[in-house]
Amino acid sequence: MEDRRDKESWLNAYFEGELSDAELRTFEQQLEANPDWKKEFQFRLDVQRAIYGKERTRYKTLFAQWEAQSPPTASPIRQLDWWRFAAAASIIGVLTLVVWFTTRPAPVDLFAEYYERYPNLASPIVRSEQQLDSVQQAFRWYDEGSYEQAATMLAKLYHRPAGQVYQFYTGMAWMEARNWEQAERVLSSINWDPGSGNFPQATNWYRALIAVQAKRWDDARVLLLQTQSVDGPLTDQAAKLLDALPR
Amino acid sequence: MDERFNTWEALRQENEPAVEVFYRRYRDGLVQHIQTTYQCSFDQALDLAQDAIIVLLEKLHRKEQTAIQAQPVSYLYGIARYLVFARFRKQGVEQATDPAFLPVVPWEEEGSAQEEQYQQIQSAWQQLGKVCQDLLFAFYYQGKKLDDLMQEGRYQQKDVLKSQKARCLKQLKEIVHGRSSR
Repeated sequence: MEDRRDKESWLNAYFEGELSDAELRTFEQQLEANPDWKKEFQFRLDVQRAIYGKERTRYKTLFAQWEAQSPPTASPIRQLDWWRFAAAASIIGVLTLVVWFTTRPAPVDLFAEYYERYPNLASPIVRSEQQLDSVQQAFRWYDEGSYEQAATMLAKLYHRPAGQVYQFYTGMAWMEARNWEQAERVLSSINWDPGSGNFPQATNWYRALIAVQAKRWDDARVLLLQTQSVDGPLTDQAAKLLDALPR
Repeated sequence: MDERFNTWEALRQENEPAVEVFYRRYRDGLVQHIQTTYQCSFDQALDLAQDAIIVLLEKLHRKEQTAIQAQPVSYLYGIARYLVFARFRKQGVEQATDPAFLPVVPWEEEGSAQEEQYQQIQSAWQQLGKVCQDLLFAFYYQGKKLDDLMQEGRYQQKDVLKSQKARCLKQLKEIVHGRSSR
């Protein structure tokens, strides 16, 4: 059956990778039969390649910057005396392990070393026995260490003004309750408005710590780089922890 | 659903810290592999390793994420192998390659005949409005289909989207031709 698709549909289908082998052959015949199709196809191919070229140059520039910051450790290949190499490698390996275990904190210690509960800055503690509203009650539980109750109550406050701050403290409460999945779920879902102060940085920091305790080192690195890229109270801490992560 | 932070998704979205972590994680091993397997100089191996990492990042956009995520090292080695042979093809070396490792778009050699045309398009690109840049970038680089763009909610009607894309291409072409006829 004759294919009645117009030029635009054919071209879109080609670039969307939607053509079967048979359709690809038909398309090629169409291009040969219609010089204006061919010209248009070539232009779009050039556009695609130009965009790829531009992006590849951008990546290369980025890589060059990173290379300048820390050059690769790979060295030129030489013919090795394998026995000597093996003996040297064993000694270096043992020494490395000794240095590693004596100087680097174990992963679990990294979390303990860097984690600190985020203080209650949102609702002052009410000492009197007066009737508490839900915000005050949630933060009283937070301050008293009843974290699951605090998290459950705070989760009901997202719709209020400053809802993102309650979301943040919900995540904090789940972290204190050592419910990592809930904490990560809540923290990762916060969309901070511009002008939210140090909260976005703190959010990345605590998400990085969740990744650290789970030994998801690459995730931790990404989140710490994001924490470090912002000027704020956690910038230096992020750089330190980044340096302390296992390679 | 896994709600954890997902480095692979961050890579797909070109999150720069994620790219840096990925680059630093795989660079050394890849350079050493290329050097030892293909007997290249260190500089050649580093250049090829960088190109292989770029191709892998490009492929992540093309919904090949699951396969790549399962075996990133195999992918990098496979892509590197293709690039090594493609680069040395001039010296008469030919080889068969698994299509999974081919770049989406061939890697142009410097000084190729098309390079001037690409440069003209790249210069014209700077004069395009942001709406057109985003749309053409999403379609031609990120590999998003028209239906994907519709689902993202940027356009309500497919015909409007198609017309917008056509207008953007026309505008780009006019800028390029304006330049080349000067």
